Amino acid sequence: MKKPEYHIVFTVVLLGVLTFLALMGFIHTPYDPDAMNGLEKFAAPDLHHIFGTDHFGRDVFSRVCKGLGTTFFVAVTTVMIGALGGTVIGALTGYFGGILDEIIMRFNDVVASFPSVLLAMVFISILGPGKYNVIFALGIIFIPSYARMVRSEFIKQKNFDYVKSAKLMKAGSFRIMFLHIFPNTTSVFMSSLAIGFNNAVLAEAGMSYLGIGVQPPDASLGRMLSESQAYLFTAPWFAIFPGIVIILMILGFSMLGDILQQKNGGI
Amino acid sequence: MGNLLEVKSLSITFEGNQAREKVVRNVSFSVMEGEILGIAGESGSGKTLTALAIAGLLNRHGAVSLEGEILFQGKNLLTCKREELRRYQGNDISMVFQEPMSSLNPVMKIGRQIEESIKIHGTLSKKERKEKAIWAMECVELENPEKIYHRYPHELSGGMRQRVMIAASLISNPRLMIADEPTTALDVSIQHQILKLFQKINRENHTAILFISHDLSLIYHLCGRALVMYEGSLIEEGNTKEIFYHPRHSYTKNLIACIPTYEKKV
Ligand SMILES: Nc1ncnc2c1ncn2[C@@H]1O[C@H](COP(=O)(O)OP(=O)(O)O)[C@@H](O)[C@H]1O
Ligand SMILES: [Mg+2]
Repeated sequence: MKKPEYHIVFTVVLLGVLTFLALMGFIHTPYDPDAMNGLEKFAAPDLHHIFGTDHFGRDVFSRVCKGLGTTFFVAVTTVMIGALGGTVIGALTGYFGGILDEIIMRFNDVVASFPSVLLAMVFISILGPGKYNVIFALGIIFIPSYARMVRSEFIKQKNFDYVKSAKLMKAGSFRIMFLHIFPNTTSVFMSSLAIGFNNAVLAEAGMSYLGIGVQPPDASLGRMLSESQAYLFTAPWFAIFPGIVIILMILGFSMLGDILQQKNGGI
Repeated sequence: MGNLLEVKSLSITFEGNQAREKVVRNVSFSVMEGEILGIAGESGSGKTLTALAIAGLLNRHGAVSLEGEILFQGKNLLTCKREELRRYQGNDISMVFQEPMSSLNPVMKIGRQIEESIKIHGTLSKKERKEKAIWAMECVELENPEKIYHRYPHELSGGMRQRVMIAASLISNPRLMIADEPTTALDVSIQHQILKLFQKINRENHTAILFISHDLSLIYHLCGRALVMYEGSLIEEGNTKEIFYHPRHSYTKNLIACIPTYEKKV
């Protein structure tokens, strides 16, 4: 590591700033993100409202912070559900194979052949909109892609001699799966977590934009984009700042995924 | 000395979709307590499958069918209960694989891998396990065992990795160690060190060793008795010198002819 790795520094700083903003959204924002103020509608960015105000006179910066927090929360929990479920299913089907593997993987193919937002809409039409239903729907929908990834890693790994060696020592199947094999999949797994996180951010933003995601008064970045589109020309800051934050978030996590893959590929 | 392992008419068949392929045919032999028995034969002759069958690594219910008997200390490993297998395989029977690269888990520290079998089978405390691991590493002449204990496989050379593998299979004090082409992936100079190591283990711990190699000259150096396999069948069995100087089968003659000439003068 002679040369300073600028892309790593950049990624860390970017994600650090975003995390800081999201934490601000949870803990303390300069203005109450939901407080309306009829006198200050569509105020352009200035020293008081650095991102300006929206159609209800709410401070866009405070709402971006809060929305970022919501989007973060939805993305993290969604990825957790998807990764956890996917790991268990992928490990079992990949390691044991057989008829159960066939059935589950064909089912996976069916689920994977629909666009995820479309499937999420089906879920939401049954469950009703709202933050937690979005998390549930997206989490379930992300399971197949993780399952497929973990499964193929397990199929690759299970034929290595170190697994035979563990079997010879009569290590139990679960010990072999989760203690011996799973740690070998982390490089692929970690980078797919980052990609999954991005997909979750986009899916949440998309669903909120369509009005089937996070419901008002909850702020979310996608929701803000949807509300702002009618005022795109009169109050561009209302759309631009949430949009930029989404872009930066996706950029940051894509770069994180790349870095994780590179670092682990080096072994 | 009695028989430690007795293989009686072992046949191994792969059940394909249409074809049934018998890859090991009616093989019988025995390993005595404390001896080093060699199995020679070109690649594809069924040596590895025989070894895996003894180690219990051919799935009993898979696409493989096993016939015959594998008696270890008089118990048939092909029919006895799971709990009894646990006692023998991985404990009394251990195995060293060909590729020191893939037979160690790349993301697990050396120490933990060496301890794994006593961790699964035993009741030792963490400290006692480490002591045993260090002992095993000293047995296989790894320098700085304390340091290597905390290393990962990719930080070690091929020869060191194979020593780690041998330490891991030694730690449970096995009665029988199966070594399947343990030196094939190594340089010639390191090959000889590893052969010496097997001799030492055999001498000091009275561990019987089933040494498998396609290289008859290694078997000549290491083993008192040897078998030769050809296309799944045993075609020769006996004293190594006997086989080497008076091969009965023309295939064995060819195998000997494959050895570089300077080795034959030894
Ligand atoms: N999973 C398998 N399915 C079908 N045939 C196999 C399988 N594994 C090994 N064989 C066949 O069994 C024979 C013996 O293999 P092996 O015991 O590995 O030989 P060796 O160790 O002597 O080189 C080979 O001809 C090989 O093609
Ligand atoms: Mg082989």
